[in-house]
Amino acid sequence: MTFLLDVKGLNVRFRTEFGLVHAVNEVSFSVSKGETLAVVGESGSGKSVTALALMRLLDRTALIDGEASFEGVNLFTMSEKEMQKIRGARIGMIFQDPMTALNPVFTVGDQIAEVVLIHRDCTKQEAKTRAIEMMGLVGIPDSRRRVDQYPHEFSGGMRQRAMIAMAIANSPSLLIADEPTTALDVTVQAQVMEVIRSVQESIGLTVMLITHDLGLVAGFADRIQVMYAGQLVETAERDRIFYETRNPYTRALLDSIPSQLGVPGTELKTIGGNPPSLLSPPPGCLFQPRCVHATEDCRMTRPELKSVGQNHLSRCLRSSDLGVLR
Amino acid sequence: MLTYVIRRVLSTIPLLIGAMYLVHVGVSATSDPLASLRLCLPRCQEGYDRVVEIYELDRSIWVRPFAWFGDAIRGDFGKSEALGEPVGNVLLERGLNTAMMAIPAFLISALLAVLLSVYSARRQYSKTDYVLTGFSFLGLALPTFFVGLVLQVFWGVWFPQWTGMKPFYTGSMRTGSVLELLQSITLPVLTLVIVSVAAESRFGRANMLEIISSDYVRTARAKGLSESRVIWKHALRNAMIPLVTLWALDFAALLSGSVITETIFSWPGLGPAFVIALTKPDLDLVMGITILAAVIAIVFNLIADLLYGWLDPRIRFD
Repeated sequence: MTFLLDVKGLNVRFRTEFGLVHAVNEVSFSVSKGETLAVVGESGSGKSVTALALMRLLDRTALIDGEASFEGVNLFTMSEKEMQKIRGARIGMIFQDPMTALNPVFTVGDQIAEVVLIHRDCTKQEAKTRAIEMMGLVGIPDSRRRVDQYPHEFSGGMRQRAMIAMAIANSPSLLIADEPTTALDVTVQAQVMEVIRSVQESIGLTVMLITHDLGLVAGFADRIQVMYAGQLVETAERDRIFYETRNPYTRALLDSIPSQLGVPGTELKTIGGNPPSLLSPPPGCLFQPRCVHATEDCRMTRPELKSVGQNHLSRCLRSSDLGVLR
Repeated sequence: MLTYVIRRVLSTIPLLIGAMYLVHVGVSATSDPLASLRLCLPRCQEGYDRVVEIYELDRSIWVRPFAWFGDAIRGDFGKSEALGEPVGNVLLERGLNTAMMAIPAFLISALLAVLLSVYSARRQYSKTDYVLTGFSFLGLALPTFFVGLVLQVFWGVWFPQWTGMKPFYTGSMRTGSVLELLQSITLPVLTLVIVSVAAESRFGRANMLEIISSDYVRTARAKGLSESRVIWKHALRNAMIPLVTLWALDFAALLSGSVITETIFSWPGLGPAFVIALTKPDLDLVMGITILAAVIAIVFNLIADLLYGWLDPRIRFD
């Protein structure tokens, strides 16, 4: 089986005045054509940095190594010029905050048409027609009129739709959605996810969805990979993650989802403590100080990512004796 | 849009009148055109009476501005005692001389400020950025007269043979050749450029840095735009919005006459005329130059506001 995107041994470190911050450590994963991969983790777990590294959008303080083969080419070794032909054409990306992700001084239509114009050999008029068509596809009503409006005349949900229209205007094969609904109202979140899903079906898009919201992932992802402190800690088919959880961190994340059926008055579950410093990571398991299953051994030995089932990997020393965590 | 402009212009009229009134009262209160005449009083009673009549010195200083207003509305700004010419002529001639220096100085400094701020922001903390930052702080710290004098001594006195530049303006505006004009205008223009570019590029760099790290610039990069298109199209237009204010203030100040630079280089502009008018004091000339400066300031503020609307669609004038 060939993968659309195959990442091997990705490391991202940031040079800071205090030393190197290891934001992403030895992350390897692959995405097959047409599937939806969700990358889940708390703030600072390295999920957004992974995505930005793939797009080579990190600033000069970032040191990236590893290999990322996309449609047969390595994203990390190509020149910046070649990379510009991939961005916006083969890989589209949408971001967390649609309120600030659009340039306030150009019309929404111009911004969508621009991405068409620079990647295709077409006239301005054709690009604008394509922009209107895309805006219709993502469910922006009255797109013929709204194409000439500015971002401040759009609501948050409409702006995120415009971002999606921009990201898919050149029918890319991969869409990276970096927390696409975090800044939106709950009702709008569902609409935006619905737009992504319908676009995915209509143009056969592969989606890499980055989020911290497991509830969102439950109805959307084919496969889930959980990150903690810059490492992959568990990856499996969606249902295995939810019902055959093997990693204590994943379990703790699942337990923190507020239940709508919970007994009134019970406290919400949280994960105590803080993630470790990525400047000088402690020896042993990085989650160990916050883990309810931690033993003496966990403090000394850094666990490896091990197979615990069909296409199911988990990073835990005790995965065999803990079994399925509930 | 047109209504907005008309409303803006009309709303400045009371402001202008208020400012004129205060300047007139202030100058009248602090000066006494009769001081020297009073010393020889019995002998020159006739002259004394004439001066009192011309300047209406028998009336209170609070009502004297109204007579000046009456004449000014009819286009008569009075006669400059110090220069022996009607104030209208002085303003026109000296205003043009000042503009001759102010316009190139402004255009060069605005262009340089944009280029330097883009360069510094894109290569933040590089060696060149540090050097540029150092020079701009130097430019901010050094007083204009010092910059002017250094240029004058270096290019005009020590090494005039290198470029043939003149430390002072000597010839007449009308008769001199273009080369002569360039030789005498280069150093004062350079002085003004150094002083204004220092402030503008600091400000521009700070804006540009903030915008380069903004989300929409990242979006532009994620679209696959080339770096130059990201900077010159998506970032620059946003970075210009706050710079426009500074430019409007700077250009208005330059056009109203740069007192120090023009004086140092003996440039026959509004600046030295204002100094002469104040030291005399020559009330009509002070009033004339003040009103010109006020009008220029108002016009440029209006231009800046209109440019905002053009640059930033969130600001509308409907």
